[in-house]
Amino acid sequence: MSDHKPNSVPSPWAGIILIVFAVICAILVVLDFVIDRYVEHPLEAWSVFYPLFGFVGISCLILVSKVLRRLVMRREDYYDAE
Amino acid sequence: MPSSLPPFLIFFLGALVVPLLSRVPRVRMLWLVLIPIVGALNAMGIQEGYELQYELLGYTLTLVRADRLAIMFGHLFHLGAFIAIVYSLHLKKGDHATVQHTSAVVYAGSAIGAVFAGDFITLFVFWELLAVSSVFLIWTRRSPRAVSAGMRYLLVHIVSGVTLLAGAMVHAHNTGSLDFGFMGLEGLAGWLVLLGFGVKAAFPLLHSWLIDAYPEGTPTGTVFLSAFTTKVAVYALARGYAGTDALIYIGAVMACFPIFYAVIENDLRRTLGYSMINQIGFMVCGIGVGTHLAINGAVSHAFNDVLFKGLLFMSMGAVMHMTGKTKASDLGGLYKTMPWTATLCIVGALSISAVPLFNAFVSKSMIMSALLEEHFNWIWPVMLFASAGVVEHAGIKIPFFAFFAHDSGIRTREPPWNMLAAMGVGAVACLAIGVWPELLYGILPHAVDYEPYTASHILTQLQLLAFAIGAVAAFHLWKIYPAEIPSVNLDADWVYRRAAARVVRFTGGAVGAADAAFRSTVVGTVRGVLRGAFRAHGPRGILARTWPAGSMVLWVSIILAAFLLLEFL
Repeated sequence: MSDHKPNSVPSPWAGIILIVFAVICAILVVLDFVIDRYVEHPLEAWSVFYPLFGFVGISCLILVSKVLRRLVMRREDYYDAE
Repeated sequence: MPSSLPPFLIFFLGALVVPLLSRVPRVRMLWLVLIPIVGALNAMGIQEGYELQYELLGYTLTLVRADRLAIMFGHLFHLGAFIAIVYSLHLKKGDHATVQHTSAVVYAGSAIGAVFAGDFITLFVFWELLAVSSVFLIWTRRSPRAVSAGMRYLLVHIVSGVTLLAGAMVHAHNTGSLDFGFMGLEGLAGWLVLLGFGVKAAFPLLHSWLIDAYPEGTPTGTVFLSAFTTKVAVYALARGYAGTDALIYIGAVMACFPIFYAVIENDLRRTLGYSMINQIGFMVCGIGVGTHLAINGAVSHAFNDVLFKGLLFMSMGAVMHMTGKTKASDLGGLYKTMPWTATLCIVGALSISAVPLFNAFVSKSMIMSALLEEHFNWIWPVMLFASAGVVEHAGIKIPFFAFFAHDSGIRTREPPWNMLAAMGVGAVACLAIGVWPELLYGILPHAVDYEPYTASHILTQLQLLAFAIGAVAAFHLWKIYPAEIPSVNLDADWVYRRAAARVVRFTGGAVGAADAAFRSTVVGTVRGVLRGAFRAHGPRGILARTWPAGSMVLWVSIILAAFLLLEFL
């Protein structure tokens, strides 16, 4: 497993990138209340709909994929075996 | 006398010369680059509305039909061929350069021929040529896996062509015309032709040839493969099935199911294969909606997909060319030694994720807006989820696991200049269309009145993307993101690679036993007959015994006496 290998990006840089990213996310949420969004779909009318949808959607995607992996994952030579 | 040749002809004639130039690689490079350039100049001379017809067995067939849709795809395939050809210029004898170059040029020509074909017979011929020419881009990898994957790829595509032909025959029988225009799902012909197109477009459950074969292609071959086959199918659907409701739902399924597989796939080129089905899902959905905005969105997304998916496949091809690896579990940290490749890959990742200023932002937005305009309120969130999913697998996973993540310890160099140049052209095109969508609007099939860059739209897209990325980052930090594990994931191809094989083996065993029993019965019967015949006719058999001449005279006398007696009675 690759968990034992060191990270390729030195951690101070990774930390800075994460902080900048968090600030961007915060600004985008604030802008949701500043900019008058054009609403076509009923769901869009919720404030912070898009950030919520993005975060929850991807969280579900990853969690469901982990379940899918239990069902479908086989050894790398699965098809070579027969 | 038309001023232009049929567009595919430039490629086919060009391909004829390629093998003759195998001893002069520099001349061959020049020749190869000239083919798409001359082809594009020739195609530009074709006026809208131009048709070239010929007679065959009493049918009028249309070798070239130039309308806006065909011309747009023609431009796209010339651009795609140019980029992919530049990308593969470094190929040497050891890479089976002659076979790869020749088949790639024929393949590109077939795609161009298919989009300009005005009738089903011409379309069918190019449809099958696409399969037959492109399979060499898989086989030339020469690994046992590539050889068998190529064979499966060929079989699936031949079946697709035969289904298309069957549909065309029914259509011709019903209507008396072989013209390829709008089909719809009326009757058997409509369904058969849709099935034929659906195989090439990688409809759900018909998709696994793509996942199976594309990752087994050569580093350069897969770039060609990603550009043409599925886009020809998208073109065919746009022409034959625009506004067919079923496609909306098929497209939604296509956009969604592959993103789950993409999360857990270890082979990065296979991840891109899943990503490709996801993107075609958007196109198919747009075609199903069928309004002018939706069709424009679908075909411009096809245009953009050739660019950004090509760019991503090129960057992974470059990694494979330099390191021999494409598995996430084997890679990581390559940004240190391949900074340009990493940067270009990130441009592709930003494009496919539909970040503002990159091309998919324009085309995907058109499809999403068309869904809202037509009040597909249940499908829209599904497609929005699929959009967010793209960020996860193509936007982050591909560049992250190849170039960053855990340091694999691999130290390599940048790929050859031509690979970088081709990726550069792709990246510039992605950005150019993103910044100046008018470049694309001008060649779309319908007039465009669409402005992607509104404050509201930019904000919502950035929010969606940022928080999707945030979720991935959080899952990484919490260490619950699925790790890179060397593995394969079962998909629909399991049905014919495993289940069908087992069924054949089992039924083969049962049939074999029945066959053996039948044969032994027959052989036993024949032996019995032979034994009986031997008993009668053999050396001591009653019918083979030698009787003395006297006894014969006696019998003759008896019969004669009997006759005389009967005569006198």
